[in-house]
Amino acid sequence: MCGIIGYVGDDPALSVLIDGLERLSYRGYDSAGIALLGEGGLRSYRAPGKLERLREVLPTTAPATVGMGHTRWSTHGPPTAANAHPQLDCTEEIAVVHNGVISNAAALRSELDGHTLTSETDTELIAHLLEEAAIGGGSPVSQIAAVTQQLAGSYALVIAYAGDDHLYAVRQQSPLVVGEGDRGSYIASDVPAFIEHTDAVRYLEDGDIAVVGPASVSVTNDEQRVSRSLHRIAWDPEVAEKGGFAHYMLKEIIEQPDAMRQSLSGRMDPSTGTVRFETDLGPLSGVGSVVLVGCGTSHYAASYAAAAIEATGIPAEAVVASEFRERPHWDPARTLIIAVTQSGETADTLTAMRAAVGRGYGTLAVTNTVGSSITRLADHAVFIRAGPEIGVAATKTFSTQVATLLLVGVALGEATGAQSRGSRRRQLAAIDALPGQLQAMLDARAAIDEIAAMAAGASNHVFIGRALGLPVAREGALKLKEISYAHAEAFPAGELKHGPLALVTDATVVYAMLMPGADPARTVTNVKEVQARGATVVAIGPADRWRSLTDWGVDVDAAETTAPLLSTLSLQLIAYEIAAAAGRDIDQPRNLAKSVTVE
Amino acid sequence: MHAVILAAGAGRRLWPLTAYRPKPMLPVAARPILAHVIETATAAGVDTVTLVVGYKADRIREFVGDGTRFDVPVTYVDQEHQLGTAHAVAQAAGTVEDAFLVLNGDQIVDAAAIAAVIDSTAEQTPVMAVTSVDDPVAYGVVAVEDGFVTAIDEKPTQTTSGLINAGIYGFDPSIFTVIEELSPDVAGELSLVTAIERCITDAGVAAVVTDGRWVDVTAPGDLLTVGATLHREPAIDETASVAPTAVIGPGVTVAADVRVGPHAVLSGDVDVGANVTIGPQVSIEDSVIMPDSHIEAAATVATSVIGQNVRIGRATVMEGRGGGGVDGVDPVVVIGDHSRIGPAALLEAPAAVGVDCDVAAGAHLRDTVADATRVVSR
Repeated sequence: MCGIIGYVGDDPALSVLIDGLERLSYRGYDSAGIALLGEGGLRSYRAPGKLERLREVLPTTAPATVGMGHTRWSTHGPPTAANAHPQLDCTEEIAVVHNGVISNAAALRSELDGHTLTSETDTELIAHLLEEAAIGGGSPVSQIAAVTQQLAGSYALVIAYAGDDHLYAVRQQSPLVVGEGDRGSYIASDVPAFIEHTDAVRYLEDGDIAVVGPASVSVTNDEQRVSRSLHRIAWDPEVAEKGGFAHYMLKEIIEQPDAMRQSLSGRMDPSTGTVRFETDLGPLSGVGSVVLVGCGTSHYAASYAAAAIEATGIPAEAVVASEFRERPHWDPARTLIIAVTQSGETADTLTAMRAAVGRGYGTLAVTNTVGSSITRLADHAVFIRAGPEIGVAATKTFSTQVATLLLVGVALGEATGAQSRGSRRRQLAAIDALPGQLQAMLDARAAIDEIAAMAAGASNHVFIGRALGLPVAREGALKLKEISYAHAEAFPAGELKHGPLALVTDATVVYAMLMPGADPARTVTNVKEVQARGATVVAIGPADRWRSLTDWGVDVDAAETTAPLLSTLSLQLIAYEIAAAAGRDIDQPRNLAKSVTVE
Repeated sequence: MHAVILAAGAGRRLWPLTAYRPKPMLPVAARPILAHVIETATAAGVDTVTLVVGYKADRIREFVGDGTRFDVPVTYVDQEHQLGTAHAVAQAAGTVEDAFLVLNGDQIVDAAAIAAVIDSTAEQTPVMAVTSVDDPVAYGVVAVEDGFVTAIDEKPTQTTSGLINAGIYGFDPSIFTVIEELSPDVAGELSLVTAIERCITDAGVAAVVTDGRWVDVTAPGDLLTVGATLHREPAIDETASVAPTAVIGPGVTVAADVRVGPHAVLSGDVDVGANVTIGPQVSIEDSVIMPDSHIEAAATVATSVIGQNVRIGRATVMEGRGGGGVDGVDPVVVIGDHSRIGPAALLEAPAAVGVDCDVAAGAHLRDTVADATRVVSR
């Protein structure tokens, strides 16, 4: 959500920082700022709103070769210039940019005497604490270490001192990477911010303080010099460019056949019913039950997988990550906790995972992001290999998350003996058919676009489904509401008559998941209930299920366990088209961020 | 140099293969024609590309993206209605500043021919590449004297020259003015050839005579032969999994994530697209199989083109005839995307099955089946 970019090098910093902020903008933000460290001292520029507003207050060129930038997503205080980062101390000689939340901010604020506070941010407190520490003298690293000892919560910090041509980077439970290139060093919350300059990165760890110069990076942790290994980023940042599509979201919807092929590549053999991941899943044979934790779209992917795993006879449930700690405990000796997070940085999921590790559960992370925090926290990790996803609304990462989790389910079924070889072979054959089936649904897009055009005027959208169709109904409603801002809700089909039916009028569109094997006759009864109240019904499922019921339908031709997953593609396209017709900011919906790194 | 690549056309003569993809996305050597075109262009010195897209444009956008995979920056312009080649070029006016090339996105040519047009374009424009083919009457002939084009005859009644338009042009931005002044032809289209004819009488049109490869795909059966002209190294992708008892001949190209079952035999010129599954004891000879398709056990596929995500049932036999066509009849069996055939069906050339069809077990076909048709056994 918030984004950090820093640069120390040979080139003017301004353009490096602006480019970096542009590349971070997909994370969502509501204000931004830049600090430049040059011969004239420390200069800072801040503005509320989008980067265009910041450009209005920035010089067109500046000679400074050291600087840092920040995109802020408001948590403490509204999005104003005063609350944007960098935050300065009273002397305006220390500047701080910060991702994360300081949980003891109120106590720190009351302890700070004799300082003039100009913002409502917790970040500004850090600048003033650093000012206090500077009075005591000592090296900047020792001063910073003294201040971080007073901080509770999560933070990634970059600190600049006037008259010092280094930047100082600090990490505690909030991601921060340092890049080393030919033209200087880079610091960022996320690799894409500087990937055009270098693919050589070091990931900082909790408690690290890095001193970053133009050609040197030294890292200390708890007063000890430590080394963090150099990684080469293998994926190509340019893949993240829009490539002629109107929105990243549309691009990411349309590339799902490719993303699915890439995700599944080399991982299964349908002829033998075996699954092989390139990473170790850990000991599975003793797993007696599975709990999947995640948030938002990842939670729906987890719900889908839980139902599929439970069908093999292994008890499984999906728990919203932020509710995990309040739930009764399962048996740590027999329960596998699977964390599902696209970014690997979702704060709620990380917190749940820390609790799970603390209680001694075996843990597995399923994520799209190599090197992310969740992979360091969990015992083992599996990657969904969907490629970078820029649109805030998750699309290809949902379908590849589900497919990857289904493969994990087969691996569990094999290791525990819960699933017969024949059943595993059928499941893998169904998964194997997904790339072609996704393409077939894209090729039938004209019918889906007609549905979207019809539904665009509706005031109310209701999604209903059973079994595996239910998490997909929920994901469809989430997708529609998050990018179009239309009112959209999902219910188990049978629950409709127990209350939500009161919402249904002739201005309602009801999306009914008529999935194979999910008791379609009962869902058809629900369809007739809403039709009797004037609602327009969009049916998703095999055409012979709905042709006599409604004119609006999407034909879904796939196996029982994968038809709902395939159906998601049609719901993504409907949401996209409705939002596009309404002129919404589809890739950056209001109030939302790609990766939610606060609890 | 900048290149404008025309990739908006539908290629309807290639039905059913173009029902869901534009002609530049048809596979040659298991890669889209357009990939070969862009790679050849960059090898010849093209450093930026404008793609003119229209019919099924998302297929091209998804594949080419921003050009990173070809190491050349690509921008897109939309030709919403396909109103001729000159109209297509005119759409790119906003992306062009200096002299530029125009290439066809569905014709594979030699890098040397493109490089020769680049050289000539530096001296004068317009430039048109011409090449000799065996049957020029089918393409329209170009008369050349002293290095200049003197006449273009698109519907020649007899062969006055062996040279045809090779579809590589060099222009400067003044061509946009020429195009603006054209009137649509009887089909309502603006033709680039007509624009060039105007230039013959004005400043003159330089002719670059090229020899070497010039590949045009006009019928599905051409896909079986053009791959061999590319002089490529047939290869099996490292992610493919081939059973130890399968036999794969020297002319076979196998793309990523393909699975080949025990005792399968692939011989002759065969291109197998990504993620295809070939079952046990399947026999495939001189055929093209597009991505995601499944060929089930003991099926026989000979001289055939199989679209994407097709399922060929057990023991189905597809028997195209080799050699040249008779009376314009395509001597192959063609199956459109997402169709299901068999099991135990028999398809003989010139059988052509459209997209989204369902052909029942035991059916015997030797004719054309329209899109989305259910064929019961007969």
